[in-house]
Amino acid sequence: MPTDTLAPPPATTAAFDALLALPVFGTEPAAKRAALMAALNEAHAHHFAACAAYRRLATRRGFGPRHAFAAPEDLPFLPVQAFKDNGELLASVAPEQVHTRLRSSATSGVPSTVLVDKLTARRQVRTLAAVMAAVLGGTRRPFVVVDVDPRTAPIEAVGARGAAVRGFLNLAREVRYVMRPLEDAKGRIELDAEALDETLAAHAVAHEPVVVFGFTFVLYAQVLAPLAAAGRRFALPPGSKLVHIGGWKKLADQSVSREAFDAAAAQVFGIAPTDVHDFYGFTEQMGVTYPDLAPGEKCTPVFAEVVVRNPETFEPQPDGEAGLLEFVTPLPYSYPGLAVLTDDVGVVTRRDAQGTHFRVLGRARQAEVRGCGDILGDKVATPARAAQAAPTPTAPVRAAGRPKLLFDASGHHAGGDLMRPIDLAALPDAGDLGELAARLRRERARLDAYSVDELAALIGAAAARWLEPGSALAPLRHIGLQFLAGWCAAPALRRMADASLGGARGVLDGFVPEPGWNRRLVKAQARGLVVHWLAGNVPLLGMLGVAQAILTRNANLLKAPSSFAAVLPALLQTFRGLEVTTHAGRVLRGDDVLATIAVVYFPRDDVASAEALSTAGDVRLAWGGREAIETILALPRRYGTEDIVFGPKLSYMAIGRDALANERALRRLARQAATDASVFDQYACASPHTIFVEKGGAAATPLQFAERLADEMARAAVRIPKAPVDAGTAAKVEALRMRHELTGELFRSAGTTWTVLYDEPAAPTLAEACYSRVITVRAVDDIQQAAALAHPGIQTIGLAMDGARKMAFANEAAACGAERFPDVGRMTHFDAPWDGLYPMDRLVRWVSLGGPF
Amino acid sequence: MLKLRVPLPRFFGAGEMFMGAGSTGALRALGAARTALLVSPSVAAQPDLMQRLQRAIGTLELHAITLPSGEPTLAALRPVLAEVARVRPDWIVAVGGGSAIDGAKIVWALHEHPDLEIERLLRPFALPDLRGQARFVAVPTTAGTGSEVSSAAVLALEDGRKHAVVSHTLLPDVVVLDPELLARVPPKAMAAAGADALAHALEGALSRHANPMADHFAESAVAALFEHLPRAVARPDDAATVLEVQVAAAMAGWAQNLKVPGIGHAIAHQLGALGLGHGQACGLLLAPALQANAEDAAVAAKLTRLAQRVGLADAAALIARVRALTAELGLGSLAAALPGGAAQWRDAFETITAGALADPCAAANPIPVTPALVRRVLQHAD
Repeated sequence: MPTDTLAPPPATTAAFDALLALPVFGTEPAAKRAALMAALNEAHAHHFAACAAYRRLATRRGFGPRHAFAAPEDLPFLPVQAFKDNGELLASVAPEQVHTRLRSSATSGVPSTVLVDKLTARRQVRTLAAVMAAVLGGTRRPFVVVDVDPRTAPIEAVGARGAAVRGFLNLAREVRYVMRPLEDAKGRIELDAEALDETLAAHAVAHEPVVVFGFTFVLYAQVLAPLAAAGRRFALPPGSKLVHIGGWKKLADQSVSREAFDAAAAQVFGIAPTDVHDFYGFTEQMGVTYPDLAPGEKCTPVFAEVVVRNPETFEPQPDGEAGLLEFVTPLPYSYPGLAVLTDDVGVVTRRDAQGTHFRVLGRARQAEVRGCGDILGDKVATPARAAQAAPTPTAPVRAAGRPKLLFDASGHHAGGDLMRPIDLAALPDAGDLGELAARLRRERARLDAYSVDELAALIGAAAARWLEPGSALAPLRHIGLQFLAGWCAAPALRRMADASLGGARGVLDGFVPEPGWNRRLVKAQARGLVVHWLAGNVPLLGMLGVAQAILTRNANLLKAPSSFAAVLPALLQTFRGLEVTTHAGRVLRGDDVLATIAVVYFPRDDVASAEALSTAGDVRLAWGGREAIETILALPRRYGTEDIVFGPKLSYMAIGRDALANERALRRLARQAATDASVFDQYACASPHTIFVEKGGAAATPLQFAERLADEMARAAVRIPKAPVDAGTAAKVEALRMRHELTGELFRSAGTTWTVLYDEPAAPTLAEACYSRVITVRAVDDIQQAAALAHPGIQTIGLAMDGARKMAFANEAAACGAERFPDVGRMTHFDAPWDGLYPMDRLVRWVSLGGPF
Repeated sequence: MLKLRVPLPRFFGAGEMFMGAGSTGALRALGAARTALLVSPSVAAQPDLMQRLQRAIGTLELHAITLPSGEPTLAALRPVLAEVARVRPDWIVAVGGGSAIDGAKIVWALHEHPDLEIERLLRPFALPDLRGQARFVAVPTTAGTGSEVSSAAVLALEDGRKHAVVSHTLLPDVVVLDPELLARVPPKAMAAAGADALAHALEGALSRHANPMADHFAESAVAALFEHLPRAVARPDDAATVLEVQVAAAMAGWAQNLKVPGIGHAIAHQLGALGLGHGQACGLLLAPALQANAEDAAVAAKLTRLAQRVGLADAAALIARVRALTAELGLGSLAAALPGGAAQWRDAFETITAGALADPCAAANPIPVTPALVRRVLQHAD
């Protein structure tokens, strides 16, 4: 933490006060700009003097304490994640002046911490009241608050909502709370049905319009949805309104749309959609709220402005173009939250005397620990995808499922742009999955006519088609298609089969002598049907599982993910009509392979289909994150079914001092490390996120290695072009960069292409995985320290050190749970075993003939 | 095998070698599930030999398949490949002369890699690893080609050219040198094969590639062939003598495989297109090749050392001994052996020279191979 002492805050807040004197949604734009910038410059001077972290941030960007910013977008912004990581550092008042520590609801991860003093709290109340009055009218109304009473409820039940609620209640003439805390001391709340009935009945009698107020999720989940389901209706006086705040994150997760919310409000309270007001805002700038002044369009009040930034370059976007939303306001006094970059995606639609109008398109997707080889997948968050993310509300389905058919021998139903979502609802029904599985099992016999080498030849020929010029699969090249094609080349498949099956793949073609045994034969028998759960974040790697299942003569029934659902069908389509003539003159037919494969889709809440798929398989092969994997493993299955799981894994790198012996070794190692950290944009489970570098290298200190790595990351960006970055990841990258600007060393590209962070922790730990070519270099006294950091969630550790030390490192890290120890530069090269297992070995039953002797 | 970045002298050969009368019985221990027994047409034509082989091989299923005659082409091998694909053997047992064993090796490679591009097949050391499906037994029925210990297999291309498929993965797992299988070899064939072995040994010994161990094998092979080859030609049913030649031929094969022969083989490979058998050509060209190379003092000195190891005075005596042996074996002269006489090679000299200069053996010759050197060798052979 910086040790700078806090300077006394300047006395003047005149510019801010002047700004608040202007009409909230009716100030002429030039006048607003002048007043807003004056207040922002005043605030900048205050925070520069009072907050060490802000001062460091501003100084690094070349801004002095008296810098006069001309436009809101010129201010140095803080990513919203900065408040999650460094909330306590972001203080512009002395600790004793901190009145409240606001914490976000943490619906999407780590909570933010925002330090609020009395002045900031007063401002929050004033600005909230001003916006509410402008939207709802100045008349003070009775409020029915769908929340607990913050004065009496336990603090854990109130959380950050309390402050927000209090701010909105300034327009309330009378307040009634209709929720109560559960008595389990876990902060949970429930509807107080009696209180609601009594309150609304009283207002109905009084004929006075009321305002039903609450947080979006609480309102819907605790009141609207259950009461609508129960058929309850309340007759509120005409003119009553429903006001909700807090955002759609949780409801979007549950696939609840705005239309569904408004419909439920109309059904339960009789409030028309025009009287339902959704206020946008966030904890890090509490007090500033953005109402809908036109349907679906938020508007900035006079004391705030919105900036839309390009998620890759962070440059401001022209109006009409989507990007990350940044909000600028001089309101915060006790913390430097003047300009906060959110991880929401939005677009400015117009500017007029009311203010700047904008739409919130959705939440940028966040990077998380991935299954193997997250190659873009949902990283490309487009507005089209965001729009699709909020379908009509669905309840878990336990009745007969309605799986859809994307692909089978009879047709390819999932065409279109491979990189865009497809209309899954428009796909034909797959019918009964049990019957489909039975058909695939029957067709499986076709594979018996082929030797494993002939099957490898067919797959290899299909893989060659993937890379043909003009192939429809061309868009997949930048997410690893060439790697996949290399892995699926016939010689590579044969090598993998040999390695996986005791050294000789001939066991797949019949009984063969078992090495080391006299008169004993063994055979690898196909298990039957492999059911796959593919993951959208591994759109290509699923094919590798399919290829291995084909080689082992199993039929395959695949469940596609909702995103990138068309990818596997497109890869399989290349088998259609494919013919390979061997040197023996045999004609191998891709259609025979296709007859044993089908791809279906069903939503995650279609439990019946999931269970049908699970019980159909002799092998269950699943890719995905922890939650998805655990859900799949909990499904019923046949006795004896084999499970193959490629779950979430992380990787890192360890470089011994002996590997940094001279300049040549340093240069080579930095280049190789940059390659490992750049391939697949670091989304492979084998991609490193931390590089431990041992002190004492003759050619470079760990910091110097980080500098060289940065040079090589820049070169790698040319050699291995980076895929587009989604807004959420971009925001996270920027947050991590800012943290290191405050606490460590940082090397970075101009945009978000690559980032090298450097620090020297007292005790080595693994850095947080940010993905998107963000690599943290950490100095250690003894490289063996890094071995002990391995755990069962670690897949690969790239090693650069001399023989005996390498062996010692690998032995210790393997004992801790790590699974692969390739050389630096080869971390993401697929091989077997992978994730600690030989998949083909698990796709067969071993049968013996003769013996034992 | 270790993969070295720089070539170093080393020794490698077939996995296991069994030798002696009745050593075919070693195949009882294969313990195979499905064996493809690939035999040359001449072996297939000997029912008693076929029965003996079938009895000898320890396998649950045995499928005998006849290879095409002569040097193999892909087209000729196709029916064999189809049958092997049907059998899916875990052992391939090849019985026959050098062409048969070469053909079986190519069948083995294309069975395990049925989609292998021809370009890759022909690229030296580019063949993917074998043995994922089957292991390989070589049972030579001639003594001299060295195919049983060779990393190469000669493939005849559709246009008549020959090309060596080269990869150490082609080295057999098991070799059986059973002299009883050679009891009916015609004298001419025994002589030609023996001459080929002698050429492997002597040209290999002079190769520019160093390999001290191979040099010892070459010397031993030369001495044994000088001593035993004539009798083996005359009495192929003399198992003890034939075995000496078989062992000598195997040692000469190692010398060839580890060191690569020189200009004599480079030219002999071209004369095949003129209708001259490989063994006879090598025999006829051997003394002329030694003589031409020995014009270089260093080569002459090396040849003298070898001569003294086998009890001869010097290089000249060694060359004379080779000439005498080839005469004794009845190989004749180049002019007599070529269907069109000496004029045939003179008319085709430019083609022969171009081919010889491009032949891999030319690069191993102890002195640079030039058109003039090629002409001198051919003239000496006339």
